[in-house]
Amino acid sequence: MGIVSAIGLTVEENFRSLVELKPGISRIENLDTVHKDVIRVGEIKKTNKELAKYLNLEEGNNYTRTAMLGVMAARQAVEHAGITGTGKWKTGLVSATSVGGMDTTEQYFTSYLENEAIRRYILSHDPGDSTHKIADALGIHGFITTISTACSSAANAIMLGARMIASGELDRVVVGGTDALAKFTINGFKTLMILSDTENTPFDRDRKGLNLGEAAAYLVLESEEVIKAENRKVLAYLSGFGNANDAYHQTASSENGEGATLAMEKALRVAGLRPDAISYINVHGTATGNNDLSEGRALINIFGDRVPPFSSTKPYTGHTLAAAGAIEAVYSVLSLQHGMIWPNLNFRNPMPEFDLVPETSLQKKEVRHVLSNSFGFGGNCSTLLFTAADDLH
Amino acid sequence: MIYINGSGCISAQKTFDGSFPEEIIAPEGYILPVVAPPYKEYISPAMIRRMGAGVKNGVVASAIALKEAGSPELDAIITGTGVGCIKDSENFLMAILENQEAFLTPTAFIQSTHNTVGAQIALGLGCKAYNFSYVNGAISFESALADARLQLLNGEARTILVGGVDEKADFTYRLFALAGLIKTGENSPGASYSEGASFFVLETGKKEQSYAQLKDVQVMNRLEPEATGHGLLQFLQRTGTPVEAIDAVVIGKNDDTQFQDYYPALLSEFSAGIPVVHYKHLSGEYNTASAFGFGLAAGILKKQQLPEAVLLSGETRPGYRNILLYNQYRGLDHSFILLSGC
Amino acid sequence: MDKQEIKEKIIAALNLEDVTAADINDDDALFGDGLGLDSIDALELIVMLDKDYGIKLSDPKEGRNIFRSVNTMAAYIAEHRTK
Repeated sequence: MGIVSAIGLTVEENFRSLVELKPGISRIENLDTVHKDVIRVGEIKKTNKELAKYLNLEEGNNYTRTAMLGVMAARQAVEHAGITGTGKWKTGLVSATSVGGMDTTEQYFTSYLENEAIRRYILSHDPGDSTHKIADALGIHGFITTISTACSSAANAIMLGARMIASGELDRVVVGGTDALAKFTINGFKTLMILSDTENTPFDRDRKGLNLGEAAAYLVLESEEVIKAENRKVLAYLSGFGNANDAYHQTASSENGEGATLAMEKALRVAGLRPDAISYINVHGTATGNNDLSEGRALINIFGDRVPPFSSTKPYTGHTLAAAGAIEAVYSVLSLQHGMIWPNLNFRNPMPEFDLVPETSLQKKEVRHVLSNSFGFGGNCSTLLFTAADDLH
Repeated sequence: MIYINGSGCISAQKTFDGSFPEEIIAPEGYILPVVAPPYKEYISPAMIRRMGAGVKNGVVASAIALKEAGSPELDAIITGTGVGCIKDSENFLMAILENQEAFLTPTAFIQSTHNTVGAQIALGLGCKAYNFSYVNGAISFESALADARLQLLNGEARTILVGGVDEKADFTYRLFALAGLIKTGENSPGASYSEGASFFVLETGKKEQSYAQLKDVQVMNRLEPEATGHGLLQFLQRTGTPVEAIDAVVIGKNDDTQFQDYYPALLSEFSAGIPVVHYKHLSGEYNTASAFGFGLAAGILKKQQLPEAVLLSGETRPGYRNILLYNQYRGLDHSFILLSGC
Repeated sequence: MDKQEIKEKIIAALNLEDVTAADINDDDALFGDGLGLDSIDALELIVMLDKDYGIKLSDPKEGRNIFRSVNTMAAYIAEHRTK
């Protein structure tokens, strides 16, 4: 696994922040926006110059911030997995992004006509560009593609990767997502009036909306055959997944959480597990009025009055859009590996609509199966189910 | 077995009502205008007012395909798009830059997310099934096909709506021209561009109206010009179809002065005289134009006739059993597709 | 407060191509059953209030009462406009 987020530039750093209850929400510094004093974000405190230097990029490159974050995290994942060459295994890459190169396009858009030197960035606007850059940086060729389904993107990328391995199309696949902060998304969410001017408080009665964040995270999925042949240490299993559509409204989730319910049901079914097998749920929990209500209803639909311990980690990192499904996958795996359940920071009062209270302190207990939810615009609902590595299920 | 049971296409040709290829519209200029269908017959005014061209074209193309297939219940909707809803994206961005982030309205932002076409189609149909959007340049449509194929062969699904859609946006296309992607003069770099939407209903069951079978699809981020023949043979090997059984080759050749050296190696693997089909001179280039080619090939297999207007070289044949499609864009995002008659 | 002006602004802001000012009665419900507008339209109208009349709403829920009909909009704008 590899990850860069507002709470750390490595898996180890992220883990320590989670354990030490250290969120990464702050005022925005790398971007100039008129909203800088009223919003809070999960920003990675590295400028584009610093990222480019770290990655050793040549002069005249056309890497966007999204691409740079992606390469950083993907490289970590591949090194961490001990992969030195793609060799005899059919290796692919499925990446996710919603911002794509917009972080750069918005800076240069009005200057392109006069300034020839920056025109190379025109080619890095589309989402596929960051994926191509990651593929080249990792030396992967063959099946490379990009998924963009708003906030469920990375979860869907992980899902596709799993299915490519299950069907034998690929032996190994790097999956995940990346999104950088941009004025485009900051202003976009502002127009929907779902940006909070304080720290985000998921599942809280007085929640005011989300904090945007930026991040990138990738995981290496491998087939049984590769694990055995290469004698790999498995971190966790992806044992279930499901995607469904709310088909209710372009941006709002249905009040009864139908899409979310269907997605969780599918994940449980694929894993062959009953709801009571779930040890922990990393909810989407963006702290918007709409999501938390809809997701809460969906949790009750599936678990009745026995909803397992759950929390949103977005108070730590912000809502990282297309990368959310991937960073939360990493946190789910860490939860399984270390037997820990992350707290839902900033929580004060439960929502009046139901009896759901997230975990508010770090829990140490046996974690066998983790459900991770990611729900996006367009009613796109995705759920991933991770299982502990030593689980003989 | 995967059957193409419905097809709908909005393009620079009169494809939406089946007039193409009998009726051919000669392309004029370097950005070919789309032949618009009667949108209001398909979409209510309440919904149409928010939709960009790509969404409208996608909704209509999918409606046509679904109707042809007998309006089956869908197990999945999978869309491919290269630049997404670029017009709304452009509008929102320009509003941000011109108004210094003030007086911004949500509609353009909401409509600009790349999965809007798939989402709007699902919303219109009330379809709660699996819904993915692939956005990876010239293999966006093929990625959607690969995903659909996986599900249909695994028994995860019986009926899937798959499509490719892209739209143009004035300022962005100006930038593309500056970057050498869109032609500006006879000898300039870049290709003649356009926009469009092509949607197909893929099912595990054969129907009276079936066009063809989708046998296999493969995508590759990079392939050297000299290696396209080798890539083709590897692809055919995995499909179990010998080169001799291919009766026509459809290539995504555009009128760019560059990036033409990928085709010779590939074509040299076939016997001389095999019909080579091209279509971008009629559809224009855009990331999902290969979906137009896909529809064209499916039509050839159904009617067992190859229109002269798309024959680039070779001779037409009395019958067509298998068609191979190959596409690439500026040396990236290569794809092979094998279609067979049914 | 000129209600004709408000109707024209609503039509323009929400891209209601097939509707004319004459089609909208002063007292018609704009949301739900009447003109059939939804929550996104409400956000668009909030921006219109700001841009054209200098009225800033911080809570989208305030819009529910203000945008009930052209009459309620006219009254609110007359009272709060700064432009």
